[in-house]
Amino acid sequence: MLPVARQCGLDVKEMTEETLVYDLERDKAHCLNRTAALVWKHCDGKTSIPQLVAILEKTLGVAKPLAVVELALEQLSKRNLLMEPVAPAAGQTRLSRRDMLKDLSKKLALAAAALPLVMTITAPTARAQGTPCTVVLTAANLQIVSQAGCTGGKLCAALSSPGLPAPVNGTITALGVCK
Amino acid sequence: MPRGRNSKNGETVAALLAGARPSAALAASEISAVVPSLLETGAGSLAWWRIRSSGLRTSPAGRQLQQAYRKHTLEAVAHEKHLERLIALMQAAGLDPIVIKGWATARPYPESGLRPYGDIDLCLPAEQLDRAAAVLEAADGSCGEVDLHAGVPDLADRTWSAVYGRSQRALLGSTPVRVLSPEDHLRLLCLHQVRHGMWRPMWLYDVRAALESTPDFDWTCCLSGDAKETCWVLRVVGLAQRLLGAQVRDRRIAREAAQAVPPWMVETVLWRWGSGRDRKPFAHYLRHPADAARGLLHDGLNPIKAAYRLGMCPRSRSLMLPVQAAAFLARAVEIPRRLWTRMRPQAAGPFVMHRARA
Repeated sequence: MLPVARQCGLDVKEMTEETLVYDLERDKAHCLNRTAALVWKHCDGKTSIPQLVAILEKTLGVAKPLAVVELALEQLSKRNLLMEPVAPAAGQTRLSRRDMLKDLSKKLALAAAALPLVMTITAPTARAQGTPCTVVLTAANLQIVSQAGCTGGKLCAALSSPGLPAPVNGTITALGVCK
Repeated sequence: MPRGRNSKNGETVAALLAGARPSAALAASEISAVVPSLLETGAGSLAWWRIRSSGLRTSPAGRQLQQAYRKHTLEAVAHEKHLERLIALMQAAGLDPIVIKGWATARPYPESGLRPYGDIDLCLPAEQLDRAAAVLEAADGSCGEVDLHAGVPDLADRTWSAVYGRSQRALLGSTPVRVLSPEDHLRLLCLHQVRHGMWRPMWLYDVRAALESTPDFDWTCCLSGDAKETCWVLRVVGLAQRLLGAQVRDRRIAREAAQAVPPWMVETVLWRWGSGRDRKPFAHYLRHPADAARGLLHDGLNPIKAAYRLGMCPRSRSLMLPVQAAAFLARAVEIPRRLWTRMRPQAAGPFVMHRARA
């Protein structure tokens, strides 16, 4: 099966050196380096793995391109950036990024930057104002029953998030941002 | 205001954001010391922009700042999508709101991810607020978090028709978005941060970006209106010149602004930037009384907020003490009302309406 990149539920920003992807469904942000981004961009359901290998070799001059493509697909798959997960290469052909880096730096003196890397962004950033809170709401009409850590102001994230958890005893407990 | 580590860190933040010292001259240890406050105040990505070409980019502090930059960049993408959708819905309903803060403020920045984004702030005439609220109800949170304002907050000395008449159209993708005129925008940027005690370095950088992006700026228009508010505008512009190296083309205004800044204001801002902590919500102090003393120092006695609140701004630091005490007492009187507001059940929704002009 040919790999297909997910299109829906993602915000994507292509930068000079990397591509940033925000997964709206899972509320996770990822950073793809050039190699990973190149593989992901060409996962269009039409490009086969040998073709991906050729593209990578031609564009970035990557040594051991097959292993690099496999590693990139594995990382993209793990972070739900492909429509269908790609099974990791089995047995001896499977190399971790660390193994590959060790191997390549020894034998081929290849820069680490050429290896695919999909990194999850976890930096704490300030919001304009607001503080996290937990709110219990009635399931029926979303009226607040009780609040913890809530300043009693506006509830943003709790009510704007698409997937509120299932009601328990007629109530919903949700994380919010209190303003 | 106590001096020491916070003030030193504040100076580092100012030097870093101003680009006054080449980033190579800043030690990794200096940057590390200010990273928490940079991240807390939302200036992490701007700091990354300054050090991105130096050896500091690969330092642990540099990596943290780069992560903030990446996150803000993605936030900007989401914010712009929400705004585009929201404006289309508003225009379809025959409404033409003015967008303030957020995207409107980030426009002069070289990249949209260099500052963080909060809510979308829309200003409308008071009589259109209910129609706008109905649009947001129907949108069901698909446009992000929205603040609806009756009139323009912080520009209470200007009529809606005057502000609207001067406003301009700016393009977001292919969508025309109404924004304030550069003069009203700068006035709002200045007064908004003063009202909040100027704790975010990014707010002052917004002023620098706004000043440097408009070649034919009409200072007469910007400085017209309430005289006390105008003095605050000049003080903030003076601070932007002094701390962030902002360029004011009009020499007379540049001189007036520089002279308008009392020395204690510089000290206060640097101390706040170095401490980095945001004001905690009032209810937080009720639950954590131990934090109240710190909160009092950071926010309750903030000299800038006190002077703005009481409408008096002495140059001498010693004269500020009674002003701070009086402002604190004035706030203390409000505590019962605020407690009552906190205890009342709140209607929850994906937007907030500000019917009274701030």
